[in-house]
Amino acid sequence: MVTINSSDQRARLIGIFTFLGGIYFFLYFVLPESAISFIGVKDRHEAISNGFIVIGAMAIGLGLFNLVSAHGTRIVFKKIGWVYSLALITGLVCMLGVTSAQWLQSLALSAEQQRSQIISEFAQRIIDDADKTTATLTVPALQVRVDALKLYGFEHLSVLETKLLGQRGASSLLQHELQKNIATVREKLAQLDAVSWGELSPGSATLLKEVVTSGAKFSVARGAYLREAAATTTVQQLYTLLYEGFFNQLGSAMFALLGVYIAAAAYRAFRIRSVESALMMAAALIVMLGQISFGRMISDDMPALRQWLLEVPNSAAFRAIRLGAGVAGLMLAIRMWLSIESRSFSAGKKR
Amino acid sequence: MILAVGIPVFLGYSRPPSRLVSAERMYEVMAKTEFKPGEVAMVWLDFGPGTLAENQPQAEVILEHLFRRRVPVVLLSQYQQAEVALQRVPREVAKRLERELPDQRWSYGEAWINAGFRPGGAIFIQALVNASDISKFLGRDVTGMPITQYPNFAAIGGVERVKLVGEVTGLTGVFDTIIQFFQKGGYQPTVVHGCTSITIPEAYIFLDSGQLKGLLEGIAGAAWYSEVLKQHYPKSDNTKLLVVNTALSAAHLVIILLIVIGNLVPLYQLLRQRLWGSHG
Repeated sequence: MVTINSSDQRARLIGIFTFLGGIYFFLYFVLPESAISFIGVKDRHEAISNGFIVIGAMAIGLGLFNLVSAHGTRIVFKKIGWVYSLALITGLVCMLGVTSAQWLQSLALSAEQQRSQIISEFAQRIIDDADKTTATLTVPALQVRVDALKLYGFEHLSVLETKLLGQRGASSLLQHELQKNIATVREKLAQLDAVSWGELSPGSATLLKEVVTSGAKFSVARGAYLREAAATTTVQQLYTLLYEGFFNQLGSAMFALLGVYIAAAAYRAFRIRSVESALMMAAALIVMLGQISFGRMISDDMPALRQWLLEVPNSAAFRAIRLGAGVAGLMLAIRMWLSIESRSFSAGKKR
Repeated sequence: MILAVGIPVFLGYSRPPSRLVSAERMYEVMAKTEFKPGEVAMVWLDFGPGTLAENQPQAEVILEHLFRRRVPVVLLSQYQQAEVALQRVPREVAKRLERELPDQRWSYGEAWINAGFRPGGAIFIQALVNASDISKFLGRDVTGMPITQYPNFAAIGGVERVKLVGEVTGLTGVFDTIIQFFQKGGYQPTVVHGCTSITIPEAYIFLDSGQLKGLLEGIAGAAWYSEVLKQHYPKSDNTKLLVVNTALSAAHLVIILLIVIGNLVPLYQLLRQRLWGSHG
């Protein structure tokens, strides 16, 4: 007899949500597009997918909590290896702190860049709104909007030019590029005075499109300038040191160690002990010699022999492996979807 | 091993790479794929510091070819450690091309955009493929700029306008999601792949079935591709790549030598025991 307790109820709840999560993607995959559109899910699929991705991202927070909990306990109670746990937590805190500071800095830079983007985005919006009927739109008159665009544009460009005089950090090439773009945007905005803005004619639309294009180039140049100027700040340099200096190089070093292990294994472990291992070794040697520059010193046909080995016997074998692994993976996925594999959630006791 | 890798690198010694048919096929595919105005190539750089040595040269030759053809490229990744590659690789390729052709420019926003790391794996790819406008779906690039603001990428439209998909990775399972999910009814892109040496056998089944149109087999594939590029663009500089390929080839030779010695030594010992044992 199985007793039903709160743990079983929890397992049941987890099983229900797991099933619901899986059934959505299963049905989305198998149902025809017309059925999906009929149900009305097609337009919402993007938002639903983003929701699932966000839920998946929550796992990072759980992992963080787990890490701090496990290693923190070791440090507090000075268990065996607590020094390594301290090193891990210290690295974690440092990296979190620096990355957070760098993220806040880049948010500020993006906000700064977005002020420059307003010129092109607003110009584009004016063009887009002109295509819609005035009956459905409650926006100021075209003349008012164009005047607002010019006012904002000229003001922003003047403030920027003043700032550029005092700013250091970015290269002179970027500064020159930015100044060139400022001049172009100013010129395009000034051209808006040449037409009347009672309604949007093809000519005036072209002028606005030129503002959009030059404004987009200007905001890209401004972004590049801001980022290069920020590259010399303490936060960015610290981030570069920790991420590119330590993390990336240590990652490469860890993989480089494999080369040493392979060299050691090549001498000690790759021994021919049977006919099958002899065949495997011969195939491996042909593939390696066919791939390297020196293989053609032995025979010009080495690359062709290698190609045949990979295209024929290897493909046949790998297809079989992938088919088997695919079927096994499908079975495992179905078991997980139906929560048959979730015994750890269930604490029901059998009598 | 250190000497085998170090000598070619320090002396700048290089040998012609081995001819790899899969890289040649990839060149033909990339040269012949037509891109109408507004159509783009999408290249996934799904590698980090661990496989940088093999995957970065592959990404460079792919981007060099696309940049030379003036095909707008959307760069993105499913791997969070690919940030450095996404920023550095296209810049270095652009700088190299500008040095070679001083009267031409390859600038960010025109030649390429960096859409950054996108989490979600297969879920994200499925949503991307079903989006009515990829520019709007991707939203902003890593600089925070709306992708619709870049003229070459403003109105990509649906996924049918992505004519070529490149996947450069050493991770297992990542390439499979592209093959499996980057398609929809009536649309299958031209997929090319740059893989590490260890995943070559796995990639060959897709090449054989036609799901994959071109394959760069490790750094050797990138080296041969660069040689083919050089035949068509003689001023293309692939010296560094050939040196690294030669160094890696020397390392392979050392491993082969160790395998041979490792098998001969026990054999010799066995024979000696039998001979001496029979005379002893």
